[in-house]
Amino acid sequence: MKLCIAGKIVSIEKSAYPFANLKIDNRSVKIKIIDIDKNSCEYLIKKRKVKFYWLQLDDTLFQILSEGESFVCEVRYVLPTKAQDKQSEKSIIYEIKAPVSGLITKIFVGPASIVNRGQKLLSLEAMKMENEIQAPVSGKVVQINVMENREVNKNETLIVLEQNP
Amino acid sequence: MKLLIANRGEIAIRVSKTAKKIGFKTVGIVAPFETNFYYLQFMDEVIELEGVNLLETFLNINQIISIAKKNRCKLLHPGYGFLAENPDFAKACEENNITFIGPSPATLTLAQDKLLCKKKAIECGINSIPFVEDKKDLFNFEFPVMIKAKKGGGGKGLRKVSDKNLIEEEIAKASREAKVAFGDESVFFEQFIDKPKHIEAQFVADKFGEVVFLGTRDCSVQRRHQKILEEAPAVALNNKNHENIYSSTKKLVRAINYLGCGTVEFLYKDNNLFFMEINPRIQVEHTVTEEVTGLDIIELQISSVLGEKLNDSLENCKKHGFSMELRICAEDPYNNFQPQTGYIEKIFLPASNKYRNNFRWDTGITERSFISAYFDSLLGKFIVSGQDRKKTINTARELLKEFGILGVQTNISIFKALFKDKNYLENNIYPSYLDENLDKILQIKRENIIAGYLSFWAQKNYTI
Repeated sequence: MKLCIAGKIVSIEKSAYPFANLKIDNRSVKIKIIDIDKNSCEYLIKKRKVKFYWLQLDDTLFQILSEGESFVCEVRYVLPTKAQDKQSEKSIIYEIKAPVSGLITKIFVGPASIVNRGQKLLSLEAMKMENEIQAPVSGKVVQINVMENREVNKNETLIVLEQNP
Repeated sequence: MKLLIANRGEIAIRVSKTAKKIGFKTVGIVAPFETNFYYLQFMDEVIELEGVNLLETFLNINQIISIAKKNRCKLLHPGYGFLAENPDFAKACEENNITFIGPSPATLTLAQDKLLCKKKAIECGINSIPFVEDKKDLFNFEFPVMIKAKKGGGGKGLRKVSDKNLIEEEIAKASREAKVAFGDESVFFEQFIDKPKHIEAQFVADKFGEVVFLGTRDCSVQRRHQKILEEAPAVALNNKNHENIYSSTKKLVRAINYLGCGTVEFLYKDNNLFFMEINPRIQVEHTVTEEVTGLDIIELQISSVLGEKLNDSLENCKKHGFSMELRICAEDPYNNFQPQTGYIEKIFLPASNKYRNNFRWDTGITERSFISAYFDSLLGKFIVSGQDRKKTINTARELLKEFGILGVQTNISIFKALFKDKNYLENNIYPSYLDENLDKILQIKRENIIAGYLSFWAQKNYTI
């Protein structure tokens, strides 16, 4: 998955827990997760132990706390183009957004679930109506940004799918 | 007896705690557009104000007085800000047999007039910054000069003029600002003092002429004339300066028949102290003096106004060697300090830190409070105490590592940056220092942003 974080292109690749691989400016870095809880994560990167608390403010904005610092960062997905990489990243990222403001009542998929087109992803209750949100394409869940029983705003990204190549 | 607290947020809580401790029932007031009701939990009774803006609610003398009367409140504490320094408010209290916890209307009228205060200080033999009232007399002044509103405060109506030719233009601007902010356009001129320190003296005075001096504070860390970090005591002063500030404060406070607690502000430069103004109220930063002395200043303020005699042995009280207060505000230091609004999702406090006994958190917010743009952006006061300045800075650095507020962007990064800054560590700070150097000392590391986002990504992808 390729992201643009605070203006810098970073690719993140999931591997077996507790490791992940990053690529920043063509340099590869491995991270090792030490501890995860509801809104924080501690991990090792380049032998440095870091711990951050975070809050997603909207689609692309995150507030991050670390050891006496607080900052807001912007993160966007980079849609792969042919020029960038031919082989490995033909997949397309789909952001599933909330069509209306409401309450997430149920999430049917897990991180890294494989889904088929039309499969139920989650239920969103708005104005006492239950809305089912379905997968627009077949692919893999790469990110779940919401929890059950949480209020979401209109246009908030709920789930990110990676379409099968 | 019932005490009405004509304020909200952090200071309403602070006043209510002491009032209850000494046996009063507290009555709180709330505006219809309030979004953060946390402070009301600390009140015995709550009355809702009517009105759609501050002028119709917290600044509305008639409404507040009638609430006090209807609810049989014999006492009224104004807190800071809002009507705290308004002589008409104190007068209205007096006329309605309500005891205003503050100085008399006459003292408030005097304190409001910066120029009159300066003259009074000079009468008492206190060194004051050279000034003139008439712009014609500026010919023997060296530029830059400061234009100040007679009834100024909070940096409004305050302008520095470096170029003689621009003086008329700047006078017009300052007058306009002063007219809007204080309803009085008159200004005067002061010699500009380059890179001074902002030093102040805390005192409490009783009805019998006793003035208790509770020590000094250094409030030189400011941003756009607003204090953001305060220290007690002011370690820049030597013994001679200290004696000077001690005797000047006592003399001036006695001369104006002051009652209750207050602050005398000075500028300090090259071993000289210059009188600036009197703040006739409890101040935001009273907490650092409390930590250094171990006294409850609000309690002293209430009891002295109620006619109790103060004992000058209070001047020997000591708890900590040094204390500092960081004003944590909902504003984005990386984005021109824009005020931030939103829900407070989580507050992390250094509760298990080994220095937790050196830490105090005075706040008006809790988790799920909504921070709106109606009121000022102060979220809380992060107070750290220790043996001396150096040790306290180190303690504060440790405590900050475990502190944070999620939900709105705050200014805490400034403090972390300051604690690394050589000039701050060596105490070479002056009020415009941050405005001039913030970009240099507050550098956001992209590495940290990426690392921060990764923690989010990892949490999302590896939660089992």
